[in-house]
Amino acid sequence: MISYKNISLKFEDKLIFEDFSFEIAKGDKAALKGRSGSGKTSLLNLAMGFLKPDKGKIYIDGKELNGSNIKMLRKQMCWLPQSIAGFNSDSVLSMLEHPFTFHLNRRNSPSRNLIESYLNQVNLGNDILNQELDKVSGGEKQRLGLIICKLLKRKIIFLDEPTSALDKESLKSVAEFIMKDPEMTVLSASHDDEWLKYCDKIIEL
Amino acid sequence: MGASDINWLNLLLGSLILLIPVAVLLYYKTGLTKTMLVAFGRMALQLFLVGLYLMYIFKLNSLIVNFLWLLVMIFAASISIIKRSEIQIKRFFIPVLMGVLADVAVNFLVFIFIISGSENFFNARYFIPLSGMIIGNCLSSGIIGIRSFYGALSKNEEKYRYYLMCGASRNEALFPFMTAAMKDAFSPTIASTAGFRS
Repeated sequence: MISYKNISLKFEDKLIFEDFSFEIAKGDKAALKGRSGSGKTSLLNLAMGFLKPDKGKIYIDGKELNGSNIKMLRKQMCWLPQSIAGFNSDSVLSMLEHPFTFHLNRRNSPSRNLIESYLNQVNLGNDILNQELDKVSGGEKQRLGLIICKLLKRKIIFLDEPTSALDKESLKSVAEFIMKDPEMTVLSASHDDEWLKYCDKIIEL
Repeated sequence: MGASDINWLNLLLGSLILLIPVAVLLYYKTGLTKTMLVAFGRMALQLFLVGLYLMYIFKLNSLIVNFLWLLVMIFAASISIIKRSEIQIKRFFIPVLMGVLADVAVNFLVFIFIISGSENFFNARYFIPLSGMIIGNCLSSGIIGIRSFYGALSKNEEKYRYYLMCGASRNEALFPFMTAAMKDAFSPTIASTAGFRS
């Protein structure tokens, strides 16, 4: 599903990776483990086409990632960044609905019932939908970001430190929400041992 | 009512008003006094030379020379927008030039066909100052808009990428940054148009 082949990457003359390769199969729940600055986020950015490797290739679903097919390949991907941007939304509900104002997703607007069901699965009450986004905690925003990924029904999900603002109980609910879906291929960057327990493949950097 | 000439002494006395900002800048130890005086000197020299040149242009009142002068102003304004917006000249010269040209063309059409009529408008006394005003407005709005757009984009790059990853097209992902840039670019013009009315 995702294949990094002989990747070399430099940042300001500092070599981050040299001839680095790994693969993730469809449905895998993989994690990139390493200290800060080890290049976890860079590997995610490479797969999303936001960075170009100095050497090597990346394959998504058997297709070599390049400038001409990145738009098409991104249609199967979703990403949860470290600190989630809430679009220009006022309320939580408008944040969850915003991606469905984009042309690509317009036909897939989720029902209120589905949204509420997902909220319950990640330990969030329905009353959060009317809350102002500014008043929502970091942990709640992370869970809302994951709900967006799931509502978008993407096959590949990239998670960057998905548990950085979660307590143990929330982490468990999030892990079950994302990791139990056999159709979803997950690549996360994390150094949280609790999260790593839920991953079936760990790539140490 | 005819315009009267300002003599050199009055011009010099008038420029003494500059002592007020100089005093403020010195008092607050901003270190900007020298920069401001140099800028003032450059402006005075430029205006002197432009004034001399315009005297001949007004006397000559040639349509071809007027249009050449306009092209020079458009070219210089485009370079100025790019330099002051700190964007790449190679990549942005043509789009910015087209933007300034479009702005000038639309305003000219309005002036020619609705307001003053072509005979008056192409007289150097109207044509040159009006062009200057139109380009001047375009210059300030352009700089503010472009700076705001790229400033917000570089500060919120992750947000832009997040939009893309949620299925937004490039235009959809850039839309909020464009909205903010438009607001910033139009605000000074709207404020000056509204004046001090409350």
